[in-house]
Amino acid sequence: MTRPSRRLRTPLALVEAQPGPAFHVTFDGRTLNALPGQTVAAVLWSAGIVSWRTTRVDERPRGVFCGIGTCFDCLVTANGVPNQRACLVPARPGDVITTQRGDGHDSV
Amino acid sequence: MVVGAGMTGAACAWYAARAGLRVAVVDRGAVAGGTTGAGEGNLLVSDKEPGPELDLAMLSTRLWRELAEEAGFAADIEYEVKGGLVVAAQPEGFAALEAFARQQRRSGVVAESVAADALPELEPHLSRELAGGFYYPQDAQVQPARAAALLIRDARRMGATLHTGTTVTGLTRGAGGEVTGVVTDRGTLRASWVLNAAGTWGGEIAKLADVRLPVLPRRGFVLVTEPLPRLVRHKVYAADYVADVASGSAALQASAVVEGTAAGPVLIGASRERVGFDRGFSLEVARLLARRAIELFPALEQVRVMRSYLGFRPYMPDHLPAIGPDPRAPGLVHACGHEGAGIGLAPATGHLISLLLTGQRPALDPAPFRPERFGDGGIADDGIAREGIADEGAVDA
Amino acid sequence: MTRYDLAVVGAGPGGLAAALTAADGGLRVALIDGAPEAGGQFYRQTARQLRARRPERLYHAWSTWASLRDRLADHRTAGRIAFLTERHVWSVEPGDGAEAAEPGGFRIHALVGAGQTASETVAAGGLVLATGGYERVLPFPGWTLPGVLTAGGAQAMLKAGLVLPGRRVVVAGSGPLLLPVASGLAAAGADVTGLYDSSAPRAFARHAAALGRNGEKLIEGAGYAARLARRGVRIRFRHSVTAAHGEDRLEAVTIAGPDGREQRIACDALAVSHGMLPHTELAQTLGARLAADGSVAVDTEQRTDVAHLWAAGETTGIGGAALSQVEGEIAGGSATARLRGQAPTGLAAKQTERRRLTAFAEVIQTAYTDPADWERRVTDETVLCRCEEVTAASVREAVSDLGATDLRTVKLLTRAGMGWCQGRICSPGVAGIARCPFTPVRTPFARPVPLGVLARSPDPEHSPDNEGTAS
Repeated sequence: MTRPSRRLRTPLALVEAQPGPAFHVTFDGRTLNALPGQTVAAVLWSAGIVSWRTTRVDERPRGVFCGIGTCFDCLVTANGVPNQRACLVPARPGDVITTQRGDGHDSV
Repeated sequence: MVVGAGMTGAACAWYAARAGLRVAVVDRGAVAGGTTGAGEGNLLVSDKEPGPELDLAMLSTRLWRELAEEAGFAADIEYEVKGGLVVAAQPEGFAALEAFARQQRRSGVVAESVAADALPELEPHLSRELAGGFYYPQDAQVQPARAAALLIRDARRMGATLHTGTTVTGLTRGAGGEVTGVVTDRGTLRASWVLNAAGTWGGEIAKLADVRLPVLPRRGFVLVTEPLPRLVRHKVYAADYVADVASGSAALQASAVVEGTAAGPVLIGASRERVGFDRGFSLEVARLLARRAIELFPALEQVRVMRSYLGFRPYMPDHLPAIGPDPRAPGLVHACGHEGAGIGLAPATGHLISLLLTGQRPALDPAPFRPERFGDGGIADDGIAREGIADEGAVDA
Repeated sequence: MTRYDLAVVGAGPGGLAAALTAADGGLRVALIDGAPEAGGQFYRQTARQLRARRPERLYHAWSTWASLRDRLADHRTAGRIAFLTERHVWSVEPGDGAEAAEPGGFRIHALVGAGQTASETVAAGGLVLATGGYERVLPFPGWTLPGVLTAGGAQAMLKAGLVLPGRRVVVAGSGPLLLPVASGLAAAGADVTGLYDSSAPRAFARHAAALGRNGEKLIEGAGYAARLARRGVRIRFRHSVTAAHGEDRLEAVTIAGPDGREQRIACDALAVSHGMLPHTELAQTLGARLAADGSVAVDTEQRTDVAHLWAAGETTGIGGAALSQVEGEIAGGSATARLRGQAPTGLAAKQTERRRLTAFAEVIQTAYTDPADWERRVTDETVLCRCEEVTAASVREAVSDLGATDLRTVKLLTRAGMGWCQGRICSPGVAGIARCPFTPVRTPFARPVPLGVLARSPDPEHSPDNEGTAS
């Protein structure tokens, strides 16, 4: 198959990916589609979501910055566990992902 | 001429400037470049044995409050009178705390007994397997580096000058042998008095005047956790901490000291070792501190450590600092050797020094702190343990 | 405890090459990496379950990778290399725990799995640190907005998860990474409106001779440029981002040219990078000396000044994947001989190759330049330390008012560098604004470690059979 034309160009199409069956996760109660093997950050990006936490002092939104687990900007709460790096953690079926605020330990 | 821009030097500069003296502060590094930048910022009376040090601490605690209010930077330096809670794991330990507290009360310390079942009310996350504790409402905390920096800034507004990155390499002497100034790698500075506030390196400054001040380094590590909500409300420490402080042993001693900070992370100490100026990180010490901290606060088990830092407490053989003019070298004044209590004792030290220099009656009897009290022989100066028994004196800790 | 002959931390081109070479030479090797697959960042693999049938379209030099990958598979099957994936090394200690027989060696402590709540220890007689590098980004107003990310990060997310950071992407900064990132994003369907490099093309002309000796690298660069031109992606030199705009996410950036003229470009993603920095925490923990540029100092055999400790790849100086690979081969060859008490032979050709590639890397380093006067564009409100939200105003106050003259004091007085990332991201920016020397990040914990993990001592030994993740 030749390279896709510009209109159809997507990352999946570029590498002719045929991923396993999609599954569902939720983000702040909203159901999202996830492809197996994607990280939480990738799943959220696919849904057009670029931030999932607010900072401690100024309560400003943050998302992916370094993309490789070094900057800790992409911290997310998944299944009740806060401060996980979304760019590293794989998404799993049924994951409950929520926006976290401040130090992430709201529930303590 | 204050040699040392740490907390002690900063406080001395502040009080001296306020008393109208012309002050210059010199440091080979930056402000708070030594032990001040490696401490937790404790202002404690709870761990002081009755005697000169406790008296100094009581005075200093009062002065800290005045300073914070008068200079108007209480919030800026995270000054918080949070109170200290000393806990004992065993009934014997609790009884010892009781005896200690009784003696401390005679010096004006407020110490309230807390039964085991009343501890959770003060500290909800504290282990439920303790025998009891004592609450010291007068204990407080500051952010030490900021506090030193702001005191120096204030002193400069009162006319003091600051010379960082300037190393003192010698002292100038007058015709009669008196100290008349310092020689640095950036020139000579004249002064009526040279104040040795070089903390753990105070012995080196003393040596420049050919006098002996046996300040030795006592290494300590602090673990810093991820930012947390208010998990620990006071400074909490285990009763054996006091014994560690008072010990002369060079071997590793560690007891749990846990406290929260305004910024969020919890600080975990405290270890004491005499290994010279070894700046190498010790995973062994970190593991021990972690274990002790979890014994006190089981909830800390899941909490992550983000970083660690170490510092060298300036340790004097009798655990009292050297404060006052040195009769062996007129013109030289010392204010160092506060071992683990330098932040708390700084204002009283500064106040005392400025009274002594302006010929006023000191607020406390300065005799116990006289710098010449050790004579000139006996203890090794290199900071490496050399205690009688071979295995206790091992350097490779 | 199983004691490997050699442990290699990092399975990028450098670490892989070291492990393969050592295994070729008969050593028993443990290769340790935090990802589920080998490849590091340069060859970061698309998640297996995404089943990419033409993965090579995302990479340069795919055949090089394929060869490394296949050799690794062979060595694993033969039991010569234990590939310990999803192991995040947080510390290394000297001493391999052996009682008396074999003194020396190392104990490597690693957090296991994505959760990183349990730890294992790996013991080895020798150690190669191939911990790689990470992106350097100089701050500018608005750089903390979601949608602003590193160029390498955009590339990593694309390679691993087949996702784009946005629809309209601006690529900016300086350095050789910008071209392949822009090209990759465009090929994957992003509308890359432009690539803005703050460097001056004149600088490249000045170093034409050195560049010429590295013909294949020039061709590589020209290839990217041609592809971008075909797609209508503007490439501009001596241009830089001066600000990012948006309410709660990126909406536009301002780009300034050499004449100071500014233009505002609407976009929802900005992939930015100003070069790279080496990860050197583990080397520092072991007491290895650093070179003047902050990388791990090594000799011609890739040995550090600590016995039986080698380092290869970006950690010894940023220079790209090909250089990393050659250095790994040298380290592996040296380790194979030295751990047997012999001097290595046959390294000469590789050492020559390393010299050539290093010379090219040095040219690149000087040719690419930071945005001129970037410090002046940083307003007092600009956050410098992203983790602790410390503004430029605080840093400037620490210097002008409070007597801070070095990075450590600025950190003590402002909290800049005290957060989760321990100053990795903000140190260059803070040092620039504070006008003090940049010092490499130094921390005994290469990763955050749960206190419970620390308290448990010793860690369970890594189980040789358990090569996959525990989770």
